[in-house]
Amino acid sequence: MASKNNKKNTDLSRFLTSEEGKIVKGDVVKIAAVLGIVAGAVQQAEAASGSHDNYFHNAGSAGTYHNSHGSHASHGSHGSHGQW
Amino acid sequence: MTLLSCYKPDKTGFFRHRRLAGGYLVTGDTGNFDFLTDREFKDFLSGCVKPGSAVHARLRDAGFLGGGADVTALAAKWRRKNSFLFGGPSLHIVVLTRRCNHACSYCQSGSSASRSGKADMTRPVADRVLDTIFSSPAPALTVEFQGGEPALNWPVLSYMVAAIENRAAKSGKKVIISLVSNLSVMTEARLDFLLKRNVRICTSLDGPQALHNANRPFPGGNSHAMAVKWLKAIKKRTRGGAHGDALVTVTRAALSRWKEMVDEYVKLGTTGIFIRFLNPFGAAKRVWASIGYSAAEYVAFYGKALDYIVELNLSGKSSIMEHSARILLTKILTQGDPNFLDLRSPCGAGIGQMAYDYDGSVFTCDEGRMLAAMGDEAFRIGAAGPGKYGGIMANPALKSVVTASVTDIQVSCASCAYKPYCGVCPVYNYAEHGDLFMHQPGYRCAVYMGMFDHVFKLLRNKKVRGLFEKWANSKPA
Repeated sequence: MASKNNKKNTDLSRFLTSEEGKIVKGDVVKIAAVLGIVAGAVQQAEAASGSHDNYFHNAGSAGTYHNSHGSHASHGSHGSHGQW
Repeated sequence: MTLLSCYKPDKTGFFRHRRLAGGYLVTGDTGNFDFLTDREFKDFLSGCVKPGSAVHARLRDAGFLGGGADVTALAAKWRRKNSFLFGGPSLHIVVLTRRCNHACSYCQSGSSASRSGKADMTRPVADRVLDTIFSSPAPALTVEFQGGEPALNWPVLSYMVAAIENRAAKSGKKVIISLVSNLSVMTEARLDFLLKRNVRICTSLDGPQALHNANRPFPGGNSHAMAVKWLKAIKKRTRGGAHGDALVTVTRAALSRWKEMVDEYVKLGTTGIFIRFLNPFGAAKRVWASIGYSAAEYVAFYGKALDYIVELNLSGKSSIMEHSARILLTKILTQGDPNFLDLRSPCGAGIGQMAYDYDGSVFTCDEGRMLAAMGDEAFRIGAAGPGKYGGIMANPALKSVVTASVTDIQVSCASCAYKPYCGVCPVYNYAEHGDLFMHQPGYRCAVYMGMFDHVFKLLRNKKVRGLFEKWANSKPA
């Protein structure tokens, strides 16, 4: 375990805006706009569907659960990543 | 004439493709797919697929032909496949303590530095964590207790289980409680308490005793014996063992022992086996030379293990299911999505799950929380407590991770045939490559590519396809 006074805290947003990064601020705006449109489309569909069918059995938005241990891979000390 | 020179874009819908098993796999954004022979693929590209033929009907129905796609149906499927986007974080991982009584080869949580009770969650912190968990708009929640060994902090574990029941009743939210434990400090009384409250219990079982205990040394005890003893007890006391499950973490020592590993689970009578690969960072990286392997080595191992499981099923010797394959198959074969947080776009970090350390610190995900345990708090998004949820969700780190895990903007993913089913991990990218975005060549990508290749190859066999349809449509315990 790292000591508290030796913590590193990188600003992750720099990866979105730095010159050597994959996308620049303008692209972030475009992505946000696209996600907004997608969000509108999906929310409209959700509202229209009224109820969810069995296909949603394990999807978060359907009002059901992450099924136990099958929802992610890490599981802390039991994890494929180990405990860092 | 090359394939590219015969391609007529106006004759096809949007698709991605991959050379596979002597032909071509074609996939679309909704997850629809088809296998084509070289000739069929060439006809498809050039717009020469004969109307009225079986291939034409398949390609038309899947939306791969230009002009004739049922856009309404495809859009509906796309919405269902992505419906997880608006549910809010439903998985909440709570680290009750960093203490552990094991010294696993791929883990350092049992280090002497973390043996004191100072690394335990307290009741006041537990209350603050629950305040944040129940602030999530998700109508259904899963609270997963982890560590360290969470049962070493039994007073707070039992306190939280009872508190969750009360809060669930008041809020009207449905809640599943899950305990990830090595089961070494389980007792009859504790098991009674957990099963009466429908707590699902998960442990590690890395295979036969020698392999398991080599991976998971338990000073003064026998880790394998304890895991097997309590898995059997859970199975006996619940219908089909529905509240007990086990995970395999594959180390180098297991690569040649795929059959023994599967047989161990068959012998125990578990409904499934969840085979998972090691990632070459964190604690595992320091001992990678002794426990690690290449992506190709893992894919070869996984293929043999999955083939054996399929063989056991088709011969009627067992009905055991492999959960990694089940997750991929649910994405490939059904109209829905299993909401496996590691394989989503964006990934589940922050918007599908949150992780809470023993001191109430909140992280985007379990991986981000583990990175902090190594001294880097880049993925910390706040502290749990009343009224804190909005600030946590607005945290720039969370927004950055969500943006960076959209597969459409990863150079390698955008054109990959497996994009509709896959996902990236910004924490992995950050730890391995010093960037939130995926770099190639990458181990994680190669592992998943290999797993998808194998599953799709098996899907070409009609008998296996029948079995896989059953797996894909099953509900895990």
